[in-house]
Order: sequence, then C-alpha cells, then structure tokens
Amino acid sequence: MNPASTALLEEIRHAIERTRVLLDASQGPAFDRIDIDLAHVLAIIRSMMVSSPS
Amino acid sequence: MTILVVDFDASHEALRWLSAAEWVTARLRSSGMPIEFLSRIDTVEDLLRQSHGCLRKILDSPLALPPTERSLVIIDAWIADPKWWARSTTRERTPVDDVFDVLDAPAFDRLFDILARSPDSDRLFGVLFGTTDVDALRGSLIDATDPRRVDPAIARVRIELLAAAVFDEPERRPILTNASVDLARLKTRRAELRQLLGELSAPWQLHFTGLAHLWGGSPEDGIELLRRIAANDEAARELIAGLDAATRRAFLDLPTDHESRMRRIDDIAFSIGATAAVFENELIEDAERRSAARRSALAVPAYLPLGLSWTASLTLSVASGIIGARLDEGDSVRETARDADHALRERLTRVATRGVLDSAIANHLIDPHDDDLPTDVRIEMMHARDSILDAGDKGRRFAD
Repeated sequence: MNPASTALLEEIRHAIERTRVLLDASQGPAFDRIDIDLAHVLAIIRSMMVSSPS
Repeated sequence: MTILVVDFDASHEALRWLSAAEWVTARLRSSGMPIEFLSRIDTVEDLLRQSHGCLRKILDSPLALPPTERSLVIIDAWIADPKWWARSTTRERTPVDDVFDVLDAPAFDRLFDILARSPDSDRLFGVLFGTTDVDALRGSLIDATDPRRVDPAIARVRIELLAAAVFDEPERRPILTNASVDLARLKTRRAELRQLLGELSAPWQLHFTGLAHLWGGSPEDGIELLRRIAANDEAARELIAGLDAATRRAFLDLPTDHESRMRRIDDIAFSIGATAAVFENELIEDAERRSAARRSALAVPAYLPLGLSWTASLTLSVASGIIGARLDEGDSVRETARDADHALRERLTRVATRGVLDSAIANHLIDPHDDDLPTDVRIEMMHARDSILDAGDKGRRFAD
C-alpha cells in the first residue's frame, strides 16, 4: 500500500477512536449500535493496514 | 423504560470526528488503494454513514434534548391537555413522572429557574399536581431548597413559588364537567403538598421573620406565609421538628464582629419569638376546633389529647393541659399554651448558647490556649439566652 493510503487509513483510525471515546459517556441502545459499527470499521481499517498488499 | 443518557457536548464533537472520518474515507478511493480493498472501503463508508445518521437522529430528537429542556417539553405537552388535571388523579403514572427520571439536582435547579421566570404559567402547577411520584417530587424539592446547597435568596423565591402554587390550586384548577376526578387522591395530594411545604420551609423558618433580610424578603410577608403554611397540622409538625436545627444553623452562621453578632442575635430571637407565637396561635386554634368538635363525641376527656396533632412535637402533658384548660376554663388555653411556648424557648436558649460558642470557635474568636472565655463571647452567650427568653417577645407581639 502506498504511503498516502496508509496515512489516510491512520487518519480514519484516529478519528474513529476519538469518536468512540467521546461517545463513551452516552448510554442507550442507539449508542451501543454505533459503538458496534465503529468497532467493525476499526477492525476493517486495521486489517487493511496490516495486510498492506503492494 | 429505555434509558437514554446523552453527553451533548461530547456527542456533537463526536459527530464532527465522524464527519472527518467519512471525508477521509472518500479520499481513500483516489489514493491509489489496491483494487481488492475497494469493497472494504464500501463497507466502511456504509458503517460510517449509518453511525453518522444514527447520531444525528439522536441529537435532533426531542428525547435527546438537555434534561431541563426535555422536561419542559414533557410538562408543556401534559398541561396542554385540558383534562390533565383530572387525569393526574386517575392514572397510575403520568408523563410528568418521567421528569424526575431525567433530572438530577442541577438540572432541576435550572428547571426551577425557568419556572420562576414565568410564575403565571401552569408549569409548576403541572409538576406539583401532575406527577404521581410524590417521593421523587419530594426528593427533588428538598434538594432544590436545601440550605447546604442553595443560596437563601433563591430558596425564598422557590418556597414562595411552591406555596403560591399549592395555595392557589383550588382557584387555578380548571373546572371540568366531563372528566372523572378521584377526589380521594386529590385530597391526599393536597395534604402531601402542604406537609411538604412545611418540610421545605423548616430549615428556613427563621428567615420568614427576623432573618428575612438574609434572603431578601420582608418580615410582614414572611409571617403571613409562615402562618399559612403552619395552618396545616402536618406542616406545623415539620416546622416544629426543624426549629432546633434552624436555630442552631442561624447561630453557627453568626457574623465575625461583636456588634454584628449582637444584632444578629436580636434578629434570631425576634424570629424565634414570632415563630413560636405562630405555633402557639395555631395550637390554640387547633385545640379550640378539635375541642368543640369532640366535646360531645368523646365521653372521656383523657382521650382528647390523642386527637391533637401537636402532641408528637410538643409534650403530651402540655397538650393535655391545653385541652383540659379549654374544657374547664376557656380563658386559660392561651396561658397554658404560653407555658408550652416558654418551655420551647428554654430549650432553644441551650441550642443558642451552644451555637454562639461553636460559632466563636469556628471564627477563631476564642483563644484555645486561654481557659477564660473572651468577654465579648460571654456577653453574646448571655445575650442570646436573655433575648430568646425576653426580647423574643418583640417577635411575639409582631406575630400577634
């Protein structure tokens, strides 16, 4: 993967992690759903970062 | 019930981070990503879009308004129903009950501030008579008038607002011809609210008269309100039960310089005299009412004190004496009640002198290495005792 894509993935990862921290104080089923979706996003981002096919 | 707790500031900031993530994801496509990653980017975009939409929906929903604003929406919706008042007496639960589920003490303070700005609206009326959860209402109102956390001027405004809403209820209540009203529940609610008014006023009872300047009120208005509140037996019981604590708090809160302390002691004594006179007058009226009602109903006069609502707070023997006096010699009721008042003030002198001493210690007016009390403090303690026993008569004359 080229450095530009890697940097963008890193940027997304940081944004998502920040989002999850900010939503941590809020509670309710809707927030649980968002947290699950964002965890899924993080998993995908990380998988792309580690597989890094050239 | 599903609980939704929203940290608004954090959630709005989270929404901005989410938008940033979506924007960066869109840029990924043109960054030379391997083609086999495109489907994963599609998934990421979908998930982010869903999360963004969900969070936006939460933040735009009335349910997710800040607690105070949300409560106002609930209250306004409830009192917009012309039959709300009747329905509050017949339903097991009303939407107003939800207000107490979402409001913590600071949020309830904010709600009260908003209600205070529109005293003519039915909102406070709707809260007091619209909820079925009296325990929650009681807890919130005690917090909202607690001397340990509420400024005196704010407490006065709140107590006056509550009293107006409670006392004006018969006039403000809409006359409904086609709504069923549970009269027993209405009667119970009225009694509960009047008792609650006594409970909320108890810590502040000296502020109604001699200490009125400390909460921005007038003694003339204060004594009238205190008299109205104390006219309810349960409220009077709450007031009497709280008199020692109110006295002690007033003495612990003495100023630091001698002249000001002496003046404040006079003010407190005045308050005690006026407050005790209110109790005494209510006691006499209560005895007269009950005596007249029960004289023919009860064959054994010794049973009469059990009908007195005051017996739990004042001594049974004094109450018995009042009734006995009322039956035997009507003119001696007042004299006997004054004896009870004197006993009360004797007790309060002990609270007062101890309070003066503790206040002097707290204000570093006493040298811990000196065995002798400073002259000023000794004078203040004597003045507290004498003024409650004697000069408090000024308060009595004022109340009479």
